[in-house]
Amino acid sequence: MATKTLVAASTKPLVLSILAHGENYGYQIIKEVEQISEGVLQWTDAMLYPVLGRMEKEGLIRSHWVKTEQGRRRKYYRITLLGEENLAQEKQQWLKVNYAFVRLWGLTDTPYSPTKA
Amino acid sequence: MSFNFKASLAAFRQELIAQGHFETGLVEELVANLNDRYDEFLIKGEQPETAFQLARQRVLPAKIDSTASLKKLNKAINRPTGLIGSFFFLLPNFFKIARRQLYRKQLYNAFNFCCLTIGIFTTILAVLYLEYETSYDRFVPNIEQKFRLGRTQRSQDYSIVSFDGFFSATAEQQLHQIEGLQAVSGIVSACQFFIFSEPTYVQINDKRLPATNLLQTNTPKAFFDFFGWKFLTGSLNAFYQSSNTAVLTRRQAERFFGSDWAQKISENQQLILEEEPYQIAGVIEDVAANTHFDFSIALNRPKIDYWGARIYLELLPRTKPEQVLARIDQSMPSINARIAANELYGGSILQPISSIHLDSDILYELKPPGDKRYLYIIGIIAAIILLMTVSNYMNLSIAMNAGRSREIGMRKIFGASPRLISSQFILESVLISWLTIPVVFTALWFVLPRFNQLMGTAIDEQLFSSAIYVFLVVGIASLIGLIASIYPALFLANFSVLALFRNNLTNNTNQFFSTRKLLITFQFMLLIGLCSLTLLINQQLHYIQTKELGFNTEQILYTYLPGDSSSYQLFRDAALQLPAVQAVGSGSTLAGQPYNQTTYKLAGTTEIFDDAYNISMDYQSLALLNIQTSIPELVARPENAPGLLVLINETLVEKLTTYFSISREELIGKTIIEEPEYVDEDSGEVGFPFTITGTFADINMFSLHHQISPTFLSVYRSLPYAYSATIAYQGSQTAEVIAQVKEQYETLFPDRIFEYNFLEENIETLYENEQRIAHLGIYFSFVAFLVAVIGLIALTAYLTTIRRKEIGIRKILGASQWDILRRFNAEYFLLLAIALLLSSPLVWWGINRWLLSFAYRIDISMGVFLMAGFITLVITGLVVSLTALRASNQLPVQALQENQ
Repeated sequence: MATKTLVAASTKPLVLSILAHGENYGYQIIKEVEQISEGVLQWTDAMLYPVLGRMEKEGLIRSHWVKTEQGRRRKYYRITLLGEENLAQEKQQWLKVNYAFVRLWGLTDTPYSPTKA
Repeated sequence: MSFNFKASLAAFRQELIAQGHFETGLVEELVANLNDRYDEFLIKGEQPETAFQLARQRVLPAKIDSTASLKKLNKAINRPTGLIGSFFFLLPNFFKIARRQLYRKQLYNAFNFCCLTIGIFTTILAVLYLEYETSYDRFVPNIEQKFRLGRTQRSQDYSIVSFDGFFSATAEQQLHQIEGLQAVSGIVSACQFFIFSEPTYVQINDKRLPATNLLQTNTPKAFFDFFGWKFLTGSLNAFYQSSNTAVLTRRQAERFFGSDWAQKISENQQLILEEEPYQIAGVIEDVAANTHFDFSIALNRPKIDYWGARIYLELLPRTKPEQVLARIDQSMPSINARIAANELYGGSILQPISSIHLDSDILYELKPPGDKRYLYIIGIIAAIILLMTVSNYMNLSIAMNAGRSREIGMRKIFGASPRLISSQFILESVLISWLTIPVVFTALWFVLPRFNQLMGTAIDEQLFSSAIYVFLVVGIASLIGLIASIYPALFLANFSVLALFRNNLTNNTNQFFSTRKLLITFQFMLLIGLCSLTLLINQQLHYIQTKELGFNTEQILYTYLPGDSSSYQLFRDAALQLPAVQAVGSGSTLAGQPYNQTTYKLAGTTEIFDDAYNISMDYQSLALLNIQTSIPELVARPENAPGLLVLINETLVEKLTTYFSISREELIGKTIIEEPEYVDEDSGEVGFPFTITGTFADINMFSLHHQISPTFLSVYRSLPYAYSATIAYQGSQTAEVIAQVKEQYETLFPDRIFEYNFLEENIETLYENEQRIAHLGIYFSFVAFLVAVIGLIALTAYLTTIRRKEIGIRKILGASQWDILRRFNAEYFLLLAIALLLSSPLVWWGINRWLLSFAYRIDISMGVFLMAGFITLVITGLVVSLTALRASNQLPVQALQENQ
């Protein structure tokens, strides 16, 4: 299980990344995150929806209601242009952090070696 | 029962809506999600009901128990829990916030401070006064078992007990009555005494000084034991074991011996009174002012030189006074055979000592009794001022603290309970009340001597040195602070967090508006009530002071004479020599307290009446008092008049002509038999017959509380006994006239002390209580108006500050200042009209009850209430307009720029 801090920090880029693959709705987003993280990230509905609401207010995503064949109503979200830009920035940051860890933990050809004083 | 998914889903939706913090869109989304999760669990093979519960838990995890987690947190940081624990833990913070609040809103807090000071001060003053008036005679040991014996004679009650020939009776005969009383079962002890209020010369060594209130008793031990007087020097044994002994009060000892009297009074010290020596047996403390009688020197004599005595009885514990009273009446033949045989004797009265001051209304009281009604009036007025203070505080504090809604909201978020928030407001209020204490003490120090003078009381002026009084003041101050703050504290603390953050409470809540209006209406009611009360009391006072009494009251002087007609003649001749003296007469003095009435009947009839007063005057007195009679020619030329004739007043004429259906003319010349129960043993004549020579116009001999009663006026050419002289003088040099009369008097009667009264002053004395209450009413009304005005200024100032933007917008849209003022005032005027309607009947009811105590009184007119309403209206209008004007003078743009 991921820590609360990590979950909080990664929610926004994760939602943006999922929506970058096409529009989706809340339940499915939770499921996909679960699947892709192999169960490490388990979001609750009560946590996700306020985040989605905030992101919509910030203009990163947009939503619309869709009626399914069974007559159910679902709110679908899709990424906006601003959201894509934001995702690109987030991606850069996360990759840099990831690269730093990869080097630190010696998982690359150019591992980290402390500079001699 | 099968599981109903749709119903459960609807219930879930309702639950979300009820929680109040989910927007509609979010509720729908969560419901849709629950649907998906439900399907998922069904696919996994769960039963529908379990599937729903599991899905529900995933969508909306169970609430976190905030209280439990808070407790856990408090425990972790070692903070006490519970209301009291939290209160003390947060006390330093509360003080810090309170100090900041006091500093931040200095002006409004100053208003509150002023109101609270006035309210607390008035309450304390009223409490001290009521405490004083109800503390009469409390020093008497075992007071609940002690009573004064009175007697009903004819239809009047007497505080002096007498029997025929008491004055000339022997010491044994006088004591026989006391012994008879002591023999009655249930009576432990009995004592008797009499106090002579007239000044008499007392000589000790070579010092000769006049002394008043000399007490004579022939039951010295019982008297001292009864009242528990303590000796400063000397002893009770020395006082009662031999006759002709005296006990001085401290003041008298200081007068005669100086401040070191204790050293100067020798063992065999004597005092001389009317040429009789008395051995001084000791000195006691002065009689407390709140005692129903006063004396300066107590004399132990074999017998009392008066026609009666005051008798006091101590009953056995738990004895019923009614039973003792019945036994006294049964034993009357053995106590006093003459009284038992007297057909006018109507039984005895037992008055508890503790109720003499406030509840006694019988003849010949030792001191003018207090009046319970006035205690109620003062209590009510003080309560009104207190209520106004409290309502002022509530009003202003709600308005002022409404701006603190975010502060309250933040505290609630951090876990403060409503009670804890209330305690902050209560603390602030109590703190302000405490700050008033030094001011209250200073005001009391300044006002108490003046208050004592005005009200004729002797409230301890050194009360600051007494811990009980300090405690009382602090207690009352804290209590008022507490009462004033409870409503605002509860009001502000019980708002929901959301409401607190949303906006200013004063603008948003209808409930507050109505409460504020209610408080203002209530305050207007009190103001109108107090104002009309004061107006009506003063109207009645003015009425009784200016009412035609039926005789001349101006520039009339009474002085007192030895009693024999030759002394009077000497004095009269001498006084008439003085240029300012116009006329001198003699006879009954007017404007005094009621005295004993007499029985009478019309000759030839059987009906006996018992309601007539008997007065006597010479023709000169009748002339100078300008009493209207049917014999003006005789009054003008007394030398042609008979030596004695009797006139009856119009009330008696009316009574007799109506009762016997005879004409006025038929009545004149008829004979009236006074005291028909008396039969002369030698001649066999019944009563004291006299012929009705004429009539005289009704005169108010007593205060206007009393209806005019039937009266016989015996007019003499020369009175057989002349105890007083009535002097009519002219000119404005009153002091000079008195000095001249005094000189003549002292030349003629070197052994007597010159005493005088003005008739006008005597009349004023009759209404001392009313005068006091009227003065106090005016002061209190002024104070109440002051409190109300301060409250109104503060409230209007605050509300206009809040409504600055509204005023700005109105001005931009073209409203004139007049429009704005009208708008602000209109709100109050409606409330004022409601207050007028509500308070008028209440005051009418109260004042009518008071007026019923006067035989002669004003009619209550609606005009007074309208006047009171008008005064309140003018003051309110002025205050509101001036305050609103100040706010509306601001440029609209400034008001609109402000970020409120």
